Amino acid sequence: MDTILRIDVGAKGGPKAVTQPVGPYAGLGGRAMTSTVVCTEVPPDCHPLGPENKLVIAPGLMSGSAASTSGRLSVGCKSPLTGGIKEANSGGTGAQALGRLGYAAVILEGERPKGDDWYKVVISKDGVSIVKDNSLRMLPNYDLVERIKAEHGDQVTVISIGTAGEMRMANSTIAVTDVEMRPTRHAGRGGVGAVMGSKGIKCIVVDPEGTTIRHPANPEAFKAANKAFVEGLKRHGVTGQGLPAYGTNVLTNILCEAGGYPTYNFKEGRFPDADKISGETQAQIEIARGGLATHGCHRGCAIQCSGTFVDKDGNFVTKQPEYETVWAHGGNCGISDLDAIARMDFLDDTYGLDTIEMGVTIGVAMEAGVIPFGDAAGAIRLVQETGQGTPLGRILGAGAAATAKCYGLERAPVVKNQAMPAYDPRAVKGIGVTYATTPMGADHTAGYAVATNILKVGGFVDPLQPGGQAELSRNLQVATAALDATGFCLFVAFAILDQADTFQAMVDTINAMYNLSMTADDVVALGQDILTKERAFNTKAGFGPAQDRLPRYFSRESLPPHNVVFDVPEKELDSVFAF
Amino acid sequence: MAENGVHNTPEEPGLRDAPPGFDMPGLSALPTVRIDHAEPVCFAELLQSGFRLAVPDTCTVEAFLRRAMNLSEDYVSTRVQTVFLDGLAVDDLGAAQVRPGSRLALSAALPGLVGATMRRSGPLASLRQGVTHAPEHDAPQSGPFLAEVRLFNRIGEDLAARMLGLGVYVRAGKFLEFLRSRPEQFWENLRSLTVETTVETAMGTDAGSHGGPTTLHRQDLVRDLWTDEESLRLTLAGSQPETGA
Ligand code: SF4
Repeated sequence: MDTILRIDVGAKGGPKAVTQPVGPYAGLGGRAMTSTVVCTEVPPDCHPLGPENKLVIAPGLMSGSAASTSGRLSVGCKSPLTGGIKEANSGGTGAQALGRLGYAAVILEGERPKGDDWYKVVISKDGVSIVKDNSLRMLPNYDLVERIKAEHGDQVTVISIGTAGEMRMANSTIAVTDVEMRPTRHAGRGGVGAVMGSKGIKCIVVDPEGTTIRHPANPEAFKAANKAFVEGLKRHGVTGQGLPAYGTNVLTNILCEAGGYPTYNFKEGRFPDADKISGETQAQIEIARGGLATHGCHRGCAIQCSGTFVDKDGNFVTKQPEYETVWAHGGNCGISDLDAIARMDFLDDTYGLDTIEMGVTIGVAMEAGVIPFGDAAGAIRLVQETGQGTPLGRILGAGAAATAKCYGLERAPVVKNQAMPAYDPRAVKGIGVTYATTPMGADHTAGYAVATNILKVGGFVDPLQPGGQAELSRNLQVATAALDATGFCLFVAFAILDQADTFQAMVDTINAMYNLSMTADDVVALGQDILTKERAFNTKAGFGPAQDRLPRYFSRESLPPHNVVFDVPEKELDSVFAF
Repeated sequence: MAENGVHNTPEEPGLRDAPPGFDMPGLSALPTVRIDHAEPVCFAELLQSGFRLAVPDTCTVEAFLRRAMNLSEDYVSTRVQTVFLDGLAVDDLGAAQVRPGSRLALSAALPGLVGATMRRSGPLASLRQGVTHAPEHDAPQSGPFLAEVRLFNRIGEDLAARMLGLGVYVRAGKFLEFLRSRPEQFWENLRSLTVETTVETAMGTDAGSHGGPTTLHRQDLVRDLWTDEESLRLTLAGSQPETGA
């Protein structure tokens, strides 16, 4: 991965591709690459949809190699939703395909020519071609992929925008096809699809045919370390059993039990019908109908947290909806019909909408009285209106904060304009600290990696002592930023939290790939460096402590059943990035 | 330890005073549904939404798991990674009391930052200060009561047959809703569902005084068999739990 592909969409005569050596960006992957390029090349005060913004697509450092569970793709830009820096992360086959072709990053830049032309980029071992193809205009992702399949076969990866990205909605994703060549994986958060749309690129077809897996610098050590890493993932209760059996939706029951499951637009902490939409129920339905409860989003995933959701007649509906999706379209909107939720998941995927942002937006619309809570058919209609760009759909497609503003509501559960995910910060206050302070806007994955005490960042934190939430949030954000650079899926974090040998095996895999002798300290330094750059970008874009806050009503309105409010002192929030 | 978490040595000292299958006096008038099913694990889906288990007295969560549910120490320490009492995450099983009105939930290790946060004495426990159970000791004794229990994910799968064997109490509405939403496979594996109704008389209880056990068929589910709020005792065919303390 020593090449960067730049596509200047404003070049004379139409978009032009230039490849260049990785140069000053050598050694960077995933989020480290996207955030470094954005910080270096994008003026922080630019408009996210203007010519100065760039879209950076980067496979993780280990993507395209035989390292297990390492196929994550990072997409970075200035976010149209938050106005700050964004890294959105996706599974699927894109990172491996780009990695095998030797690309450390693909950068879309420049000013789209006047008019409404749409382009398809094709990347293969033979080079790069860019074709104007207006017949693709306003095709939803699933239809688009069928067209690409007919032309390029079923062994390619498609990285694309749906109708939402073309309409440059602040809620719009970039889809990445999975092993079945379905557009089920998304760089979902922050409106990255709108930036791709602003460059006039409808899709990037990546054809890895004729390439081989990336070879490690030290094959013997790599093989041994990777074997130990896989063995560690299989051995652990979460990565070896819980995730494969139930997927992430296994969290529904427990968050309800904790009273931290945001229900009816974050008004209550427990959904009475949780058992109808839980991961346990979902897995049973999938198995009984002949779907799949255990499935990987790319080849080489040792965890396989995904699955396939089919209807009563066994026809494919969508991939197994994730916990956040089931929550956003389910409990958050008072909906307990898994078939309706699966239908919305499909619609989100095909129009290219972030399921969290869309579900929270519908919750806000329900609170505004557009449709009642619990109205599944109405919710499906709202997603369709968004994907079709009706006047109401345009409002909804601008996200939860904009929708609340349009309807004159205070209660928009957002930070930096990005919708909060499926954990109420009043019940799980430590998550609230991360929502408030991450440069990305309310984001549960920002503090996801849980290697804190293994990394010994900032010393060992006694779990049962009060306080220390800022410290933990900082450590988690640092570890996550580092993991996001590697291409390893964040779900490996559970095995590396509990099993020091698995963490070591992961580091050894990276070292053997690149002939390095990285230590835990280096991993910490990498994470801190990424966060420092991202924070600096946001500061120049106009962000300050006032943006590192939850909406006031989370400190004022208590959440049943525990009747708790968010009361972490502002001083503690402001101390998160004291490194 | 047996793979399903059940004690291999039920005669172990300390377990006899609360034998598994303890049943409360006064509940014997409730209809009992005896289940004969080739795969009792499929009842895990029902047990996630809550059932009640009879307990002789107020006790610690640890004692509840070990005695009322008859789980081995090894199973509790390795598999039961996440425990909620009244919606609050429990770190110390010996310092949280199950008392009348208590609601207990058990789960295996969970994914996600929040999953890790909820784990018993996990390194991220301080992130959930607002929903952590404060240690308590010396709760007053209460006498027998029904505790509400929810079993999630692997725990439900592991223990479904075990709990049905002990005899659990559920709302009739929930049970009927569960039966009505079962796929074909469930019915293929069901050998029988029999209902025993027992009446309490001045002379004691009189099993089957309404004409003995009746068989419940799939087609019966369209009828109003019980009111939603009525309680049923579910148990496996062949289980004979002891009654009384
Ligand atoms: S664990 Fe899930 S999200 Fe992660 S790589 Fe595997 S299938 Fe994809």
